[in-house]
Amino acid sequence: MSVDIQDRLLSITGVVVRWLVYVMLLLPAIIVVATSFTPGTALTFPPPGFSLRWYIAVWESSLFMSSLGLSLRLAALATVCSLIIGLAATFATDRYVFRGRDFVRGFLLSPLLIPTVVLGLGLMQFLIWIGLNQTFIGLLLGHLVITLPYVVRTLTASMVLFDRNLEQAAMSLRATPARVFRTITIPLLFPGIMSAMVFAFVTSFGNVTLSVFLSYQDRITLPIRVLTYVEQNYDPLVAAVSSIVIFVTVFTIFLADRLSGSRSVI
Amino acid sequence: MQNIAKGAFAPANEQDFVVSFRNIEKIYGGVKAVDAVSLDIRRGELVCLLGPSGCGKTTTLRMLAGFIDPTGGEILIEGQNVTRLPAYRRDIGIVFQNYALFPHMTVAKNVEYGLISIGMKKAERQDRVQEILRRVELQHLADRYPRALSGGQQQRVALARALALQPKVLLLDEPFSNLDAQLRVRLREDLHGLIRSLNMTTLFVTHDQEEALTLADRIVVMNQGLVEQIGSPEEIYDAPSSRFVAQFIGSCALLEGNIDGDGQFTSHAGFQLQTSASPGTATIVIRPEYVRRSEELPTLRSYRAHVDASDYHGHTSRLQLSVGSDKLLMDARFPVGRKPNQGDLIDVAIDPAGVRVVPQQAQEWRKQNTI
Amino acid sequence: MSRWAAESQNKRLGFVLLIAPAVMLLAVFLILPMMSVFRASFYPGTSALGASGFSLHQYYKFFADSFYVSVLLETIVYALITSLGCLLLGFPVGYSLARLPPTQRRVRMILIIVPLTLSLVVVVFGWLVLLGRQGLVNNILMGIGLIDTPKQLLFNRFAVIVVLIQQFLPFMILSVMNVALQIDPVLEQASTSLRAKRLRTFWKIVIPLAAPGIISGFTLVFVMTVSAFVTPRLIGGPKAHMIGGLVYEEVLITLNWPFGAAMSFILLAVGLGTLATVSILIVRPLARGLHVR
Repeated sequence: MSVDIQDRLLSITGVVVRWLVYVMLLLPAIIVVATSFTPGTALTFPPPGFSLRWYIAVWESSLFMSSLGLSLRLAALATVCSLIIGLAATFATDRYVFRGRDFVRGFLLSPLLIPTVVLGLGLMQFLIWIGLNQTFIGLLLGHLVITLPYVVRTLTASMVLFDRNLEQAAMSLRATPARVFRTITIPLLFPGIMSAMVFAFVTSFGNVTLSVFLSYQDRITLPIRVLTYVEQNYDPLVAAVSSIVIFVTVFTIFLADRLSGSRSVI
Repeated sequence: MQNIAKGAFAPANEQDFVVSFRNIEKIYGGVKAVDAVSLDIRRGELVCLLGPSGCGKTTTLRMLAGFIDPTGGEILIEGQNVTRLPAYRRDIGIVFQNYALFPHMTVAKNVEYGLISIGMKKAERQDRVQEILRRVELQHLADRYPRALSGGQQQRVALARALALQPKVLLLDEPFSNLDAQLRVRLREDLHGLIRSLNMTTLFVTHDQEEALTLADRIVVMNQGLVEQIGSPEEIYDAPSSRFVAQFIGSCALLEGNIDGDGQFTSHAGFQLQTSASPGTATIVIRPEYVRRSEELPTLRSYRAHVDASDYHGHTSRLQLSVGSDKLLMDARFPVGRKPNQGDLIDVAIDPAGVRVVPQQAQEWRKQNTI
Repeated sequence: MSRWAAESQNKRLGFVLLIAPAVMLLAVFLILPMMSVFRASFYPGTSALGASGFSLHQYYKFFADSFYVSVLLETIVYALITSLGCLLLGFPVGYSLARLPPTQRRVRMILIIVPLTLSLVVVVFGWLVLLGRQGLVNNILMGIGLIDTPKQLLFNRFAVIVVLIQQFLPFMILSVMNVALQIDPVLEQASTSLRAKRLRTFWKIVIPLAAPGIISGFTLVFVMTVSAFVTPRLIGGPKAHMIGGLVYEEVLITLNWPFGAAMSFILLAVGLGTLATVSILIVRPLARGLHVR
């Protein structure tokens, strides 16, 4: 085969694969949102008309609404806590040279390597053992373990690119360490911080595998509520709930992107 | 604007040293990056730390700025021991190699940053910013962001930012290395003029000998953490105190041999030259511009030299010569059409003014593979 | 010299204060739970609460039953196919993203990030609708006359793999892209201009340089697939089983924690073992391609 033909085949394959991937990635979300507006009772695509009846049904369902509230609160708290803990730890591993630094970094990322099912079972047992089972704090601690590595990973990447001369320049301009941190370090790390928060938030908000072990009676997160509902029912109510989840995550990304201005979050 | 140089804390005695390093030392993982450096800088003086990369010059500068803690010794600024003082209480201004302008602030905000630190009132701050931007001819760019500026403009913003606080000493870390050659010369002249007009005490770091020779009042040549020589540009060039300094600054021929009781130098290969030095083993340094055609110096001993290479440089030609098996360099102007070519034999004489004997105590030969 | 010592003491204190919360969190809520699972897997009975003693009973029970062993193998096979599928589909996308100008890249990045951030449940639900009897795929197939009656597209292994790949693809794309961003395009051009065929450039230059991204993407996808249970449960139905689902049932429905714990640990060991083998046998030699002629 001549080099030219080979080249062309390769680039055509590339284009096809890329389009396939984009379509495949977005299709489920688009389908869910589209069917959620159906006026009928069956999940059909394309929907036969437009109505908000299933959104009203969600609004009136105390089960789904309480789960939505719980998930939002949980994700927000997990984001703030893991950001604070993760920022401090990343700062330490970035700024201090010490023996075993790579080991500590690896340790902070290690939850990514543990199948969540194993972690979930372990946490459930352990929380019973220390008497924190079936508590919000137990649920939160579990979510912190899985959001922390995303925060550390994102912040490490943006700190590597950070020019330390900027802080030193500020110091030479008589700025106290606190002012340097407030006016130079944080603003310049802001895009990284925002994207770390987005990852933490959506990781917690959408988590199933861990929450399934840590949720209990009146504290059931939204994804788990959807899961148990889908196992018994199959109607557009779930499409509406899922669409709400989609709206929340897209809104989170959009907001973060706006907040960090022209500098890209992702 | 005139009072920028004097600063708010004008000392009683103008003779005071603004900066003193006393036996400053920095050890990194068992290696002495900076070894017993002592140096005094007078008011208004422009001192340059010159050396190959890794010689400890930047570490020394950063220790003065307060970014690196020395492992030994003391640093004084206007007589005050600042060795353990954090950077933000040292009263220094610094211009970084990459300028380190705050990318999220406009030019004016960059310059204003330090003025906010010292608690200056807003109206006064803005006056000061205007004034200093006018001084560096950047007032029309006050609302731009640094990324929209050229390299030369960025450098001037960095300088304005550092000078706005009227520091006791200004530090420049390789300030010209990010600029292209032509711009570099022009900005060097501008900077020189500005610093002189402000009578600013300045310490700068460079690996570029031309920069050091043209700008500095005094040069500190460093190599492998040690100070090799401190002196005026003329002293450094004409009276190098070591092989390293001789070779690092300018070009030269280095010959090793012995000096007898009459001051006659004989190299190991047999090259002989009259000096006024005391007897013993010695290394002599011969600068290329002091090697002349023998008809120009008819009273001096003439040597028959073989031309190994001949390069035209415009204002002069550089010849690489062999006298016996000793090598010499020669810079000279030849009349049109009479430039010797490779393989020619010419007669040369050596102007004794250009011959230096490298002193014995600095003879210890350090590897210089870092050049 | 004591001043020096005091200062470094202070620095050390600052360091410890910064890093302690994260390390403590993981030590207490990651390491201890893992140890408690490990311990529980050696209880002889069917309950972990108030249990004592030490026995290999749970492990024996697992390996003596061909059903469990076959589900374990099935899980590993799913994970391998999914990781490989993600690599094949994700690599071209991630790599081409890195070569786009930043503004165009940003738009497409959002297309990739959005599915990544969606809850697994939502994505799986989307697929249920898509592949269901009245779903888009069946409608299209009937519309073009390929089939007369809706076909059951769900509840088979192929569907499980498709859905798994779709879920985890963004992780691979982002991993590859992050590494490819750091590869100087000049290297590729240099190789192509040396009259190397594009394919050869690809194997000898691109793949080895992108290897760190491939490894991290492969690892992430593999680990996530191995513990998947929502997808096999909802998409696979009774036909496709994965260990994650069995652990879930054992722990939350049968309430036999010691057995669930043993399964978890077998999953962890076999999963990490497979990952290490794949990386040593396949990925590392590829990464070394740079030095092979």
